[in-house]
Amino acid sequence: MEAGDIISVNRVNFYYGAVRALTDISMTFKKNKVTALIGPSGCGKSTLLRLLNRMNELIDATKVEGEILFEGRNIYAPDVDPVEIRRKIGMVFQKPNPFPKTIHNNISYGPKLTGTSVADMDALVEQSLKQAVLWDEVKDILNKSAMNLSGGQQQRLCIARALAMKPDILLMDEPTSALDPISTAKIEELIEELKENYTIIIVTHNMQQAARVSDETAFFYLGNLIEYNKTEKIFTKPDVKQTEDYITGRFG
Amino acid sequence: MEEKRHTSLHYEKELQTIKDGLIYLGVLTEAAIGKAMKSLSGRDTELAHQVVREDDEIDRLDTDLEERCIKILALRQPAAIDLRFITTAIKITGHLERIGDMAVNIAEKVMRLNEEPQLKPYIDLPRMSELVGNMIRDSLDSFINSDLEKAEQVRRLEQVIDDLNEQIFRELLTFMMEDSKNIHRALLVMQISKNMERIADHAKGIADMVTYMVTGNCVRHQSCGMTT
Repeated sequence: MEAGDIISVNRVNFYYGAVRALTDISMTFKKNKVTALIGPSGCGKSTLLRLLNRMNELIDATKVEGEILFEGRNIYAPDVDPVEIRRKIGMVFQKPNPFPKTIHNNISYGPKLTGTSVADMDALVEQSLKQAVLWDEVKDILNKSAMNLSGGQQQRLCIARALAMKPDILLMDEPTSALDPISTAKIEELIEELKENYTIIIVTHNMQQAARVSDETAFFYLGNLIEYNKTEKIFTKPDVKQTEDYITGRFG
Repeated sequence: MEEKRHTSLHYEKELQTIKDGLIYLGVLTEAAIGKAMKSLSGRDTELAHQVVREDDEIDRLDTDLEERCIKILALRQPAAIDLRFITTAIKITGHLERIGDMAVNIAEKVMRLNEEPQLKPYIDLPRMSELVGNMIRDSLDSFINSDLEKAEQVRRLEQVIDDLNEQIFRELLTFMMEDSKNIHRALLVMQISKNMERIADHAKGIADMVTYMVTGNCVRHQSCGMTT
């Protein structure tokens, strides 16, 4: 890994049972950058995202080969605690999934559960909600149920919830696919702001979104990494024909 | 635009319409130059008027093509080769429209020249006109076929046209020095030659955009030679 890199995937193969979902993937993610993973359904992009914080092992009969280095260690080494990894590498899912609790409790639940000592929980809640640009909308209803929020607000709450754990990396799996254009714009704006302090890796089916929010883009096809390049390059003059065909909508 | 087709056939059709429109516009501008030159060598003032009238159609097509390109940018959000194709098409239609204007400029000079006796037999100008017509055709061929070699050929020809213009300029200078009564006509012929030279510049501009479209590299200026 070079200076400025935060997480490195080395010769990774991944299997769901006998089916190989990822083939010999090697790539390095840069710190404080937004990296977009794009490709058609079944290309392995979400699988790779979930590998980065060991979410795939919650699925039966899966197997990982190769290594993923984070802070100089292979996160798949036997002595590494997956819960600790998931604390440092947070995740936001496609559908907003707030806990059926108050807004305040949604944020404080993680730190409490993991026994993280927080001197001032209210301050952490406020800070996290501010970082997720939700504070002004919910500051007077912190003790109301999170389920009353709109879809876009719920998704920002989920981002705030992930940020409360003070992660280094935020993984986002199609975070706006269930949102309207205004909520989507707010999340995209938020991503831009968050990258000052966090590294963001986002899976998206919306190629214009990848073009708008990311610094680097990786294109996957049938479990292979086809091209990994600067986003501007990918969307103006990609090096690989297959990438060009995909992003221009020529699916054969 | 070769090989695989878009999943959206409508989109594919929209791009093809722009391509066809550019070819048609190219045919019209090349014809305009040919007619303007014929009106000079044949001293045919009516033909010169026709060139001026027919420029309206070139202008109309230019506006139409540009609107189509803007519509695709707005509605399809093209990327990669499609984006380079559309931006190139917008530039090419602009170049062709300007070429049409140059043909009109030539035709207007011809009208004035035809009011006086012919200064000299025209030898280099028809040759220049033929070469310039070839440049327009080749530049559009290079666009349609993504043919970099042909684009390069157009760039090389531009230098030949520059030299021809210089040569015509020097020759006309001697006519002016010989007799001041020649100055008016010689200046008009010089302007025609200059217009031809500018048409060649526009054809080179088209060839440069084709190189950008195919390679992603800017070759329009020496300073952008290294850009990717």
